[in-house]
Amino acid sequence: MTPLLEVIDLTKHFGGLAANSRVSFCVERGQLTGLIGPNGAGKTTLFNCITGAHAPTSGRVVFEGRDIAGLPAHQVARLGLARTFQVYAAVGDLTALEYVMVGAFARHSGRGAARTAAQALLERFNLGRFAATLLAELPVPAQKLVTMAAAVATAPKLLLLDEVAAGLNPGESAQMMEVIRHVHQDMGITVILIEHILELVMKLCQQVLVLDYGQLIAQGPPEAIAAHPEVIRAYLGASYVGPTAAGGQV
Amino acid sequence: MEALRAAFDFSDFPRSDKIVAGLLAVAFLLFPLVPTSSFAMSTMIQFLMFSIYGMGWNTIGGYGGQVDLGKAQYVGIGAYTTMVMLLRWDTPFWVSMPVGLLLSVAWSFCIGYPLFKLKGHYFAIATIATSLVLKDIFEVWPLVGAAKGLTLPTNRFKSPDFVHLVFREDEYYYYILLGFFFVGILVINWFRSSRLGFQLRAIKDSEEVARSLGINVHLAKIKTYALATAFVSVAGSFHAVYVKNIEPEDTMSLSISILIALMAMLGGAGSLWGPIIGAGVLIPMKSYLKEWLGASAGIAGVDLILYAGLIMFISAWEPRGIWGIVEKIRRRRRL
Repeated sequence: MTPLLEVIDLTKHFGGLAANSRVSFCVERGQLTGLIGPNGAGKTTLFNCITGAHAPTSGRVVFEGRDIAGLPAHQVARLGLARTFQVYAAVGDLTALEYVMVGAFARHSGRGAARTAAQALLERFNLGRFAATLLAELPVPAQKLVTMAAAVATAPKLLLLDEVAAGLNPGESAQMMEVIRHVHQDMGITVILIEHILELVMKLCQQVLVLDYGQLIAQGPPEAIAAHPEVIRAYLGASYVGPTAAGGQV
Repeated sequence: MEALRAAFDFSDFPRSDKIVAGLLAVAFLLFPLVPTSSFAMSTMIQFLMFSIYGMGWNTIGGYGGQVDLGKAQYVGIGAYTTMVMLLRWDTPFWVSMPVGLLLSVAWSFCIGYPLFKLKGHYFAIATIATSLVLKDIFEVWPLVGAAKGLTLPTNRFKSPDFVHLVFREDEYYYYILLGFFFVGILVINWFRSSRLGFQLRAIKDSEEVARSLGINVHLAKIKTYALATAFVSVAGSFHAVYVKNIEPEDTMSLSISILIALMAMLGGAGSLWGPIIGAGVLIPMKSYLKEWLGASAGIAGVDLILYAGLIMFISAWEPRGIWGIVEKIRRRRRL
């Protein structure tokens, strides 16, 4: 069976800067993949290239056997590839329910059906009490959950989450992880998440990708990644790569 | 069918709104029965007409956040289509109005396609430019009477003529326009809860996020722009048979475009009642100022000073206009 997503030699240049260079990896159906790397490693750019926000300079993005590289973002979304954004400040006048309905309208043309679907999702995400509140007036963790619910409302096969736990306290991020687990396991959506809190990635993910300076320096199961010399070099510096860690196999 | 139900569904408004709206609707219906001056009558007609322009503007400018300062070009297309067809072929209003609407919408697609590649101020400036260029063309085009404009001879049709919409008494115009006004409210009420309406509100929030939720941002804007255009064009056609004398200067000038946008913003962009409230405040103010100050009002630029003041008020104090203040107070009371 073909993988759900296959990224082949993906390269993205901004002027002279190579934000991604020759990145290749696969994501299987049902997998939960973590994407980590120091700041500026090109993680968000990679998401942007996969979802059509940027057209890659070269390389292919194969989703369900179809090359989607360079396709406009809204068409990618309709194929079943949804995402959330790292930086997002609600300014509009949409309530939480209406915001999720925007996502639901991608699958339902009638407003009754969209409303029902959105309401059900809010309940699932434990946000029912916020339905009538303006998104801009919600606390940050709830805002992040609502934007995630809107992405899930488009009924994606693959969901890309860009630092959904950034800025949350440990309690809130644990709650967020619970929701991600629910989306992944109970709703059967394949997930790739960018996350800085490595502990969460290691606990949650079945596969971890590590980017550094635009290049994929390691990929594999969490245990192997934790011991990988390149990863330690990227995060801690070369002097921490000890003789014991150097033996880590991927 | 669901669209029709949505158009009549006002259930998300508090009861006080529905009572006020209902009372106002009755008052509007009864207004001509109360003896009033012809001046009050023409002010009411102006108010209804600008409400319809404003409702149209509000779809793309209010819900969608795309500030459009070129609505006057569609007033012109609607008005001139009706007038030209009426003078040349005695075409009934009920035929020329839809023809004008189709021409306006076709034109809106032609300029909407390139214009919506622009954003923010650039879009606003481009809409001004297209509107002024069209006005300049009309000013030298013999078919539409060039700068002199077109005039409907008073004895051409016998009043009351419901086919060509030619009346001597303003009451007839008033009731027909009131009909358009009510239909307009229903259409906007449908729009704001339709898929397209939601898409536009998401676009106003963030285009990047809207795209990620599967919305074709460019297409959604073009579609909504066409809807906005339809409103303006219909009222423009009405304007032609109502004033019976149209010139590029008074149908397509920049000040009309600005007045349309300003009214909707003053009342509350992105709300159902906003444009109506805005027209209700600005139009009587404008008419009575002109009445009191006579011709000197135009020379002194009193109305322009007034607009400038309102723009400052809106941008500095309450970007969501009068309706925004009402909503703010309500929310505070609920908390």
